Amino acid sequence: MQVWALIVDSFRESIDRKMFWVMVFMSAVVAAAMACISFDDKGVDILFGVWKFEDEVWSLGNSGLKGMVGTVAVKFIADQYLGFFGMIVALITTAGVFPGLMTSGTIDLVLSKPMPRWKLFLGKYLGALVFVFLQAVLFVGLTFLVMGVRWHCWMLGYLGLIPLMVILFSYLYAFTALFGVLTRSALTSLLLTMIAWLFIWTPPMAAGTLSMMREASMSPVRVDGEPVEVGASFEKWERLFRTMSWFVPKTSDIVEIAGQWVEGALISDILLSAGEPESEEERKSFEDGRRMEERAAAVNPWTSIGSSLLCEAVIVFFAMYQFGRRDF
Amino acid sequence: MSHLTEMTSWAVDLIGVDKSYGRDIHALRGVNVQVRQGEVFGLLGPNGAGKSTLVKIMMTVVKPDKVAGTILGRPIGHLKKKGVMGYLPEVTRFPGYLTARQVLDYYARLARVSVVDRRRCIPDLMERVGLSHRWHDVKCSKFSKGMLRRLGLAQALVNDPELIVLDEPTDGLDPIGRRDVRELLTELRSMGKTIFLNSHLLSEIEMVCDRVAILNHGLVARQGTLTELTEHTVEYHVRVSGDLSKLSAEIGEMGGTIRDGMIVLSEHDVGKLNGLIDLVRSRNMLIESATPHRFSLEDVFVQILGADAKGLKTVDSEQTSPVVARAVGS
Ligand SMILES: Nc1ncnc2c1ncn2[C@@H]1O[C@H](COP(=O)(O)OP(=O)(O)O)[C@@H](O)[C@H]1O
Ligand SMILES: [Mg+2]
Repeated sequence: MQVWALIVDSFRESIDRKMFWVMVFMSAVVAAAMACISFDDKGVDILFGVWKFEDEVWSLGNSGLKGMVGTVAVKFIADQYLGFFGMIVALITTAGVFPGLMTSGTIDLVLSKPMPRWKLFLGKYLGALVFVFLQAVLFVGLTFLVMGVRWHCWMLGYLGLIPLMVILFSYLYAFTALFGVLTRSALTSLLLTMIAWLFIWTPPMAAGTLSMMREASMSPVRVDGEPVEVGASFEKWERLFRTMSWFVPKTSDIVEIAGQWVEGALISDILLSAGEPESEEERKSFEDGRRMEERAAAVNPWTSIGSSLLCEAVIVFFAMYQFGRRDF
Repeated sequence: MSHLTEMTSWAVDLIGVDKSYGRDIHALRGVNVQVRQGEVFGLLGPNGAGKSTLVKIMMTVVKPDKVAGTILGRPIGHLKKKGVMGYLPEVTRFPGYLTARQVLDYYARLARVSVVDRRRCIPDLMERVGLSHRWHDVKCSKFSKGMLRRLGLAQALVNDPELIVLDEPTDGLDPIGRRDVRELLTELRSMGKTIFLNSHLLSEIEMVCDRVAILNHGLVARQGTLTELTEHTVEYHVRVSGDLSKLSAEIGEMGGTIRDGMIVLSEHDVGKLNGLIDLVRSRNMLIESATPHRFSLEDVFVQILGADAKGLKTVDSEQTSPVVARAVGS
């Protein structure tokens, strides 16, 4: 009941903020913009008939349309709009939660209530996550409907972005909460979170890139006719970054997982509907699809999210400890 | 009144509370406070004495370096017991997006008050602290300082607490508000609540408190009932017709001083008083009056602060508490 009261209060607090409505407004604008585009049998229709582009590729006639929309959804929506811009906006909105809680006059009141400090901390932490969850439901829900109704692309996997974005946010918010407790300043904790984000983004990203480079060079490169094993030199570094990745929340994996959930499902769809490859060309595109799927599958969602949540828990625990022992 | 039998009825019994902020500020240096169940206890002290620090420690807002003893029979921070305590901090900041009613509902939830009780008692409570009906559903960002203080008081009472800790409750209130608070405190006492009141305002403490502790530089300088604190600090004023100045040396030898044309004996010693009277009479001067002058709490307060300023040892409550003989003639 107490935690619920804290969550409800966080919600009331957030809808009192302008930022909340700015986010709602932005979601509505993006969804409306997307709704202005539709596909028919011949091509693309923009602004309800104002412009029409006949293009076979971007038409309902193309069985690959769904796949392309899926790619766009992952690349632009999951990776850039939500995964970067949205995260920053959400962090800005919620960075003040702990510094605000810790101002004199506010903290005295809540600490005097029969509630252990860790519970207060968790209530506030969850409150921020609930806020982001609601925003994610709104945005992903709206765009899901738009893509379904207007584009005839119903992609259930796309709804997976809701939990994924909340999880991604929670990775970052652990830092914001920790720095908020330590510095009591919203702005400082926000800046430090950005720096931390850059730091934790590096190892998994580097490991992934190196692994791709290694794979690419697996097929022996010929120097003066002699095959050269380039892959080995990457391996040491890759292993180092891979090990480091175990100790940070893996933010960059989230987009990979989103790719698996959105595109992966679509690719299997396409492959299934295409049937057995007949021509050499078909076989090639089949192989390409396979490889895409495999690359996306290189990230195991459960290991990645599981170990990341573990790292997050450690950070949250430390923040909670700091919050629990300080004077106000 | 043996110490042991009283032990059971202490609402607050803290021993050796010690707290430093960082390396430089030693806010509390082994404070002992004892508050009986059902009394109004006043903690008096100048600004910076450590009053707020002490109540923050009681409410677990600040962690003490050292503490022993109990509140309501349990160690500090016991959750069940915290549930029957109410606290008005020195500074309050309420969420401006909530109405008075919502504020009280929110803090009542945090204090684990049931839905039924919340519905029933919150409107009553607002009336009791003087928030009239038309303010109940107004966002508290629109409230004046005095109204916020009243809301704070209501917040402290929202769980029908046994022990109410108030840190400068009348701060920011006008005279009417102060009177209202005094009446509320009296009412609460009659309901059997224990009240721990922090204040730097003597008059306030003097008017409502049963027992008082005077805190200075992180130490309890005196602790006791109002009469205990004031009765052993008596001075005699001897008014004489005639010029005293030529007697000043002899008066000084006998422990008196001359102030405002009268002899002042700053101790409770009837022998010395009569010695002084004899001296005056032997010079054929007439005694107009000899009156014992009981110190007000203010005098005691100023005396303690003065003694402290002169570098005298500030005594701890245990050594001072009760009592010295009653003043003659009072
Ligand atoms: N959070 C804090 N950090 C550092 N010093 C503090 C803090 N709170 C109080 N102090 C210092 O402790 C001393 C006692 O303060 P306080 O308990 O507020 O006294 P009072 O309430 O009697 O005016 C003061 O010197 C004050 O400056
Ligand atoms: Mg104070």
